[in-house]
Amino acid sequence: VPSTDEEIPDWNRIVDSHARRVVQIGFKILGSEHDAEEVAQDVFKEAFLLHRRKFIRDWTGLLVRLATLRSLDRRRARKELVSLERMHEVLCNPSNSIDEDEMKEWLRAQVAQLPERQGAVVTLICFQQMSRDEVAKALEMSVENVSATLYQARCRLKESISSFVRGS
Amino acid sequence: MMKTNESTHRLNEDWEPPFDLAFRLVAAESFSNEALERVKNRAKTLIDAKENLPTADPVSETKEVLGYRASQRMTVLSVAALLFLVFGSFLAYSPMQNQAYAQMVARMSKLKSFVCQIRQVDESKLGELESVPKQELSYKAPSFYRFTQISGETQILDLATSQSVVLDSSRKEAMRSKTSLQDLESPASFVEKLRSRFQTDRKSVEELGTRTIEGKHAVGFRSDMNGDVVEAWLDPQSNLPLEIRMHSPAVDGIPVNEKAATKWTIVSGFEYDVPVDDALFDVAIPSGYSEVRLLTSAKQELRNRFDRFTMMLRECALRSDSVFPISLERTELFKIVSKYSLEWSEKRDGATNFEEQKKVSLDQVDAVTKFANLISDGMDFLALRREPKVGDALDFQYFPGARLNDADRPVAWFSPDGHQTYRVLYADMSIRDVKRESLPSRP
Repeated sequence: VPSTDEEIPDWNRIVDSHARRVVQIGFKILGSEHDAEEVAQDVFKEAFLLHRRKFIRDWTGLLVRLATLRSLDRRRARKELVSLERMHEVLCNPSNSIDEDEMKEWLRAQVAQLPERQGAVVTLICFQQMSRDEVAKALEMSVENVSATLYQARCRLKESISSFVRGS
Repeated sequence: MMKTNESTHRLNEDWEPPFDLAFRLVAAESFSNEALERVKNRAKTLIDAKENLPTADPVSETKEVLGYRASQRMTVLSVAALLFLVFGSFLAYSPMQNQAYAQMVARMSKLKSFVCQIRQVDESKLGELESVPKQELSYKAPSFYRFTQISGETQILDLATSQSVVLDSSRKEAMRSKTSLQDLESPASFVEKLRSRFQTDRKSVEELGTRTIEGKHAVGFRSDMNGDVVEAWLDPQSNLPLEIRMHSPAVDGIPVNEKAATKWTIVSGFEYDVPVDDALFDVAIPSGYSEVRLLTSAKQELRNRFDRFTMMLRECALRSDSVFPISLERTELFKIVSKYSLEWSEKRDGATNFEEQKKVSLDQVDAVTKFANLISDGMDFLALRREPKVGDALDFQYFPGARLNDADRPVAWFSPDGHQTYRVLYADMSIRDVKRESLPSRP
């Protein structure tokens, strides 16, 4: 959605165009519709205020970036509901069952514990299923950097489980 | 039990167990259309509320300016404020009102110079002034000020050109800056600045009688507005002040802290039209001094704004049964302002006569405006935090639900300097600077 420096662009159109994605990102990271709504509201307000101070060239990028970072911030502030111990218990004994919700909550906690850039890349590619090109544009990174960051995140996530298994 | 939805297996990466399944589960989740509509509707109301949203200028994170330390900047402002009071006092205190005011403006405009001394003293030591260290202030027409602090540092200001220099004689260092007080070109202009205040305060001025100051007969007056007390002792012959006593336990009528509540500023030792050396008012870097460049960047600006933000939180709590705001949304904050205004209206309605009602109305406008300005400052702080980039850690957090003076209860924290330090505000309004690893967790 184009905008000019002088006045607010068609704000309603911006909201209509991006609300779904903003809420979706919040929801995927937080797993709660209520929390996703709150984050989305904060994100739109922050974007609106930013626009009043400076020219926004890329509304999609800004909103995706804000939604991802603010949601990860909020997720990090929560206590982990499903522990590595619980996941290890399931992995070591496949007869143990784990609830879907438990599984999702565990993954969200793991992703939120990644360094911010890695968490954002994993969120957008794996939760939001955006292409590397889209992620690179939204996060103001090169495509190569996105791939490298995703690789680092993957190694880190794998290592988190492996080291736990080794330790125990 | 775990279940998978095959239709959602469009992951860009082949993850190993248990991540593969977990990612698919999360990717398959969806939210309700009602939630989406609620978000859209709320976001669209921002355009209607834009007039009430902050419109502050952007703060550049990279901008460096020649500056002097914040404390010294405050010194300049304090001195200016002080002089406002010193010279503005005439209007209200002169028994001859407008005629005296005109004479005083003419008199002040013709002053070539003056010197005075300033002391900060606790109420309990008002009787021992001579033992209190003093700062010295000199003025040279048309726009030069020289202020020597207790520490020995000297600040020279030329308000006509907005130039300022701070000299540290022990280190032979000088810091230059632009001052923003360029509109204050002479002592007479201070009178103009405070004229409205003292005009509105005619009724509350009370006479203090007479006393002798350094062998001169002095007439005293006292003004008390919003807790800011000024006692002026004037020479009735010259219409010039001999001594000014100020007590400002509040900023904009809002109590600051216990220490400030008992602090007085005493300005005395006035000498008018004394010979002063022009060289003492030169804002150029003196020979033998090295110029120091200090950053007074956006970070300091944000730090100052955080202080206003904390004041906003405190005032909100004071007006909400000691509970800090449940959110920092504009609507929530202005709800508190409305409630405060309503309380004043009830007070006004309870007034027994027209004069009293009128006074309460004026006080209401004053009090509510100040509170709303504080809210606006707090919101400016929230709006001016920079746009986050990927890789940024969180630089601000607010924990709603605290009660004023709850022990060890964090209310908010903020990093003004790129995550080197964090300022944590507690419910007792204490602030602690900590490293990231020591940040309090969400209560």
